[in-house]
Amino acid sequence: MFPVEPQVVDWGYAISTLVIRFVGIFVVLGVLQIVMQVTGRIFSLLDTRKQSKKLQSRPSPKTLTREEAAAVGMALYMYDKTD
Amino acid sequence: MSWDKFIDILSTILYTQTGLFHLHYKLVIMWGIGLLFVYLAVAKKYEPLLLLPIGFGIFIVNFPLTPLMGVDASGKRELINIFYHYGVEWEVIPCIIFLGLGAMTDFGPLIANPKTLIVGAGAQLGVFVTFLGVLFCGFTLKEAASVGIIGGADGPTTIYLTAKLAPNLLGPNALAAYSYMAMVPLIQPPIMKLLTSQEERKIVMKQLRPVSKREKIFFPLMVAGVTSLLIPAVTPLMGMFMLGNFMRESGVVDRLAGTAQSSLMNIVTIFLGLSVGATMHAEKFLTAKPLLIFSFGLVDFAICTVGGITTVKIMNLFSKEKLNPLIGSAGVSAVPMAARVSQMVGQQEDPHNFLLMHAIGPNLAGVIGSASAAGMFIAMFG
Repeated sequence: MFPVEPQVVDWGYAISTLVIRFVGIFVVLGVLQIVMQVTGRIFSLLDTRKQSKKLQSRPSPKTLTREEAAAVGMALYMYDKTD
Repeated sequence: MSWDKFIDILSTILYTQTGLFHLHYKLVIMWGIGLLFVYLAVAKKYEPLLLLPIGFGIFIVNFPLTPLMGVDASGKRELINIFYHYGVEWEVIPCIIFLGLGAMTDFGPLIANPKTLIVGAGAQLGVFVTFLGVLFCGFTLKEAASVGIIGGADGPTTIYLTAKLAPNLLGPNALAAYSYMAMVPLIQPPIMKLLTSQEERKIVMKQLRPVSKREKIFFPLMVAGVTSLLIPAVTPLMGMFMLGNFMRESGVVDRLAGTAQSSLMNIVTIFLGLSVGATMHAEKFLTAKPLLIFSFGLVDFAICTVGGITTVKIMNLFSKEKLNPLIGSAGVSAVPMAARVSQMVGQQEDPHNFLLMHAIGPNLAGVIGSASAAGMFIAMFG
């Protein structure tokens, strides 16, 4: 019946240890998933803080008065004309 | 010199120094098998990097009196036996291949969506089911474990485990693993379509978040630490895998990462393919076991695909953000072929649905999952 000589196997041991080990893979990868989710959140938080610090350290854009804006506009116009 | 004497010397030379009088139909069958794999590699481009040297190894070792896999009169190993002994028996080459794979791999999609790790675990179902089936057919426990891992669709892992537990099955196991990996686009789509509805195949997944450089650098250290702690037996494989990835992501040893993923990997691939092919001598190969291994390998792949898809469907029952079940089939590793199959089947339903990056996550999880399964078997029987 068997293409290969049958071996004496303790089926109870084989099946129970297999079930435990299959579940074990879920446990191992589940632990990895949890660690990755936690570290992912920590890194996202750190990145957000870093970015907000960068934004804060940038000089705030200065609002020009009408006269200053006109002067800049004129200067740019003159610069174009010289080309 | 008399004519009789001349004939006597000539026949002695022909008998002892040529293979002509030692030819056997079994050897001719093995040439056919070797050339079939060479044909698949060259003409069909099925995993050519491995199947070409394996096929040539089968072909060349099945010529009578060739000094390739034996030991000479002075006790020295012959050419391919040296590659086999130091590369495979000493379990060096699979680990070096893992180093190269790590240096080639971008884990970004997996880091962005860690949930997909569970899919990689579910896709190991076939490994354990096949173990029982093979055991039932009369294989030993160690042999059954080495055949079961074929469904993990990870060549180096299969070779590593088989070399450790059942070196007598190395050739057929490696050949089955690489052949079926090449045939993933043929094996998986019918199962994927059978197990999913049209609506499920159309599920569009949320775009993955960007992953920072720091996260990518931390990832290999974390995986190496966790897996080594939980399954120490798998550390040679996972440790090298993660070292390769750490070299890549650190960005400070580009030369080392470049060497690991190209020259070094290519060199060991030649030695691995040739050594594995050369283990398949007619006397060992032409038995019932290789046929059974090939049959169980196919069943194993199919069950692993079912396991991956079913895991995604179960996860969808408890999750607000639905995953497309087609990415479950990528949990069998076979990187990146299985992920491409998910993308291909998904686009048949909706040409605007791009599943590739989503499927890479379970695909990489499958590599970790199959290595973990191998570690479990080594802990069990090693």
